[in-house]
Amino acid sequence: MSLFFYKKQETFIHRLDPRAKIISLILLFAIAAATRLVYLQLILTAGLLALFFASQSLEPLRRMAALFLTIAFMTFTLWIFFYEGSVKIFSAGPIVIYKGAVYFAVISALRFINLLLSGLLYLSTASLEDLSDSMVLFGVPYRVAFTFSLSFRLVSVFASTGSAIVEAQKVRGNDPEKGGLFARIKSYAPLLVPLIINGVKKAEILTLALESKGFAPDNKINLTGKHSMKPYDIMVICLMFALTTAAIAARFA
Amino acid sequence: MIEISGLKYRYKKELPEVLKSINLSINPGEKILIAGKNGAGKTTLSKILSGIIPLLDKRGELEGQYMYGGDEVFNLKYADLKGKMALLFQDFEGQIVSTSVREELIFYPMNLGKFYRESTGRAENLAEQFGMLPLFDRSISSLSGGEKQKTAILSLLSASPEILILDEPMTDLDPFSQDMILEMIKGYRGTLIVFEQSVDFYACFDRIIVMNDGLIISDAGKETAGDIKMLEGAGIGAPEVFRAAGGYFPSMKQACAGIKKDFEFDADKYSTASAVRNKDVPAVIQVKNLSFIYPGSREEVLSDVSFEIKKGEFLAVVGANGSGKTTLMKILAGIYKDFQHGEIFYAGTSIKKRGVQGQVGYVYQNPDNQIFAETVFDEIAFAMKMKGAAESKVKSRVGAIMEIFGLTDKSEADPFSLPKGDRQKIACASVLVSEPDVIILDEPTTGLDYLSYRGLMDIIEELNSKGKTIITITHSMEAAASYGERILALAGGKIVFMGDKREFFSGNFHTKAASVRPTELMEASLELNNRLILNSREFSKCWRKK
Repeated sequence: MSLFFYKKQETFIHRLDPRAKIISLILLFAIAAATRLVYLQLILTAGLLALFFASQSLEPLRRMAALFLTIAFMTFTLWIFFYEGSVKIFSAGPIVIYKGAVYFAVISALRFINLLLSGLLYLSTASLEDLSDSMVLFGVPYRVAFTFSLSFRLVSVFASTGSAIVEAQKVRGNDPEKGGLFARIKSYAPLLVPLIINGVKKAEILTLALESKGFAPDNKINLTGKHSMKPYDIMVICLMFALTTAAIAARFA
Repeated sequence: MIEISGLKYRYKKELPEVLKSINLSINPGEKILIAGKNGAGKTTLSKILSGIIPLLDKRGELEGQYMYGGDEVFNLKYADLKGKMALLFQDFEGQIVSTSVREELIFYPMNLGKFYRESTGRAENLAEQFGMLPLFDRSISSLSGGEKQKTAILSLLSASPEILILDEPMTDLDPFSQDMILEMIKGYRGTLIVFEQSVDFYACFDRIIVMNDGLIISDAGKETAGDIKMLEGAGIGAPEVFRAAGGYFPSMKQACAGIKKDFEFDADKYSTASAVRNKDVPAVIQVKNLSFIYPGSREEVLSDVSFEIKKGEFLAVVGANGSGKTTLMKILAGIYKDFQHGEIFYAGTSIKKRGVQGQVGYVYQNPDNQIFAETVFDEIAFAMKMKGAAESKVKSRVGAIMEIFGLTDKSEADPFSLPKGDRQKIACASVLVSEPDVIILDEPTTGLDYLSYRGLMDIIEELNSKGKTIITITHSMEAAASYGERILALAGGKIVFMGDKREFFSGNFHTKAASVRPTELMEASLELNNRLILNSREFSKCWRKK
């Protein structure tokens, strides 16, 4: 199973310039954070779901749906009990529910969902290179942007090595998912040794590999021709700014 | 022009020399194969040739001189060699630094200051040439081992280096991908130095150098591949055809003429050797209409697969990279449990009901993924100790297994300090100690030299003769043809052949479907008298010296 959500597709969202994608993500976060009306949060949720559909990214949504709904439920439940208003509507010992708690819990859960959906939409439609390229295009030094994308490469390398090690040990009867706490802790030692040794080896090789392929911290990468802001990208950014402005205005209206 | 003289190297002061006085001249445009067994010093020499040692890896002790283009390389900075030399590491996966094939193929030229369009154009051409265009936008983590190896090679080619050094570039490639790399080698315009554990690909090179124990023991032309005695002395096997013919021949026709002159065919022996042996034994594993999709994916990795494995048989599983071999075997071993369709029976009972732990053992391709103990004994004993076996039983069984694998004298050694051949044996022994009835080995001979390969496969064959059912996944057609009786061939997640290996290698219908190719010895035998000889053992039975 892939650790990442991005899949190359030929949709209008995938085709956006990486800068337009990251600006849109930040503005979507701003809209979700600013909006305090339930119906506006619901419109935003519906809009985001429509974008998932339009970008043919329903698979990542399906994968994360259970987790997102759990988070939303937990947020809702917690705010019901932790919201502090001025008028009590229910009281039983230490448990007090104030007037407005349900509304606040609903809006908080929706806000959380919308923030998560915005992030997932970005990860489903922007590759890691889109992210690091947008950083370079915004003036972040190449070494910082590259290190950022390299860390994701390492995550996938360690994850695949880790799963190979777990499998190899399970075949020999050492299953870290079985038994009590002590048995589980004991069964992790045979996993950690090869993981650490493999990890040290891979880190050494990677350092040599980078330098042997011309990488140097002061390298400047010329991305000319890779990305270009088209009128369509500008339109999307303008639309997102307009929506953000409207959301902020609605909040203070 | 490369000029190396008096080169000596050791990794630490207290360790012995890995290279002991190497003298070597390489002319521009030469294509050189440097062969040697595990531990001969090949990888160290490849790193020194590329400048990585000592310019990036400064830990060891180095003596001697290395001149390149009039400069003393040891006095340069690595930046001076940027783009001029490129080395494919033995651990090619660790060398991949990007998250997608496209980005990996443009990484090197972009870091040399080339423009994106130029870099992408070159990357696309290379990907098309090597059949990687359909994978161009795939993430690295979704590629098979062979696809990763090709990506690593192409990422070096993308910078068009003057000197390309490849350290064992074929280990994970299927035969068709190997052919692509060999074509690249033939057409490469710069200087090319390839390190291998065999001389099987001798035909693509102008010059063959043989190393043993840190020394160059032979430096000559293609005819080196037929110097059987010298090669075996260095722990390397000569190509099967030359072993059969008794020496080097410049072409297949000449080899056949040489064999016809010195050998005679024994038709009776051939009919005995080639008779299909239908053992009337029950199936130990039955697979019915199996389909498998990885979680989160929509692509079927296995599609409606049905077959039987007989008790006590020796089966080779072959097919192109990404054809589903490893996935299928992991399902049989009970590692992947959630197959979507179909049924698997072990000794008549569904494995979903009973599981197969303890009955089916799985030996991984990379022994380093499982080794963790401080001594060889503890590593092998681990599975038994996990089951709570009595100390005396552990001692006797581990002792017996170590005896079989020739590890008795290394019982107290640190497994990580041993050569790869021994580590592979330890990995194998540590699975076999549980006495599974079925043993699945995933590319057991990858990265092993000729002697280690023969040693391991002979042990496995011995276990099979004692009644164990053996299944090996392999890209080596020599291994598939030399060991076992039947072949299971996969292509695109479907079975394209299941049956007797002689039938598989007869004609090229099945081999083509499975993206593999017959060995040179098979081709030579058909050229000789149209009687298919599968391996050198069979050859020595059926063709007697006059």
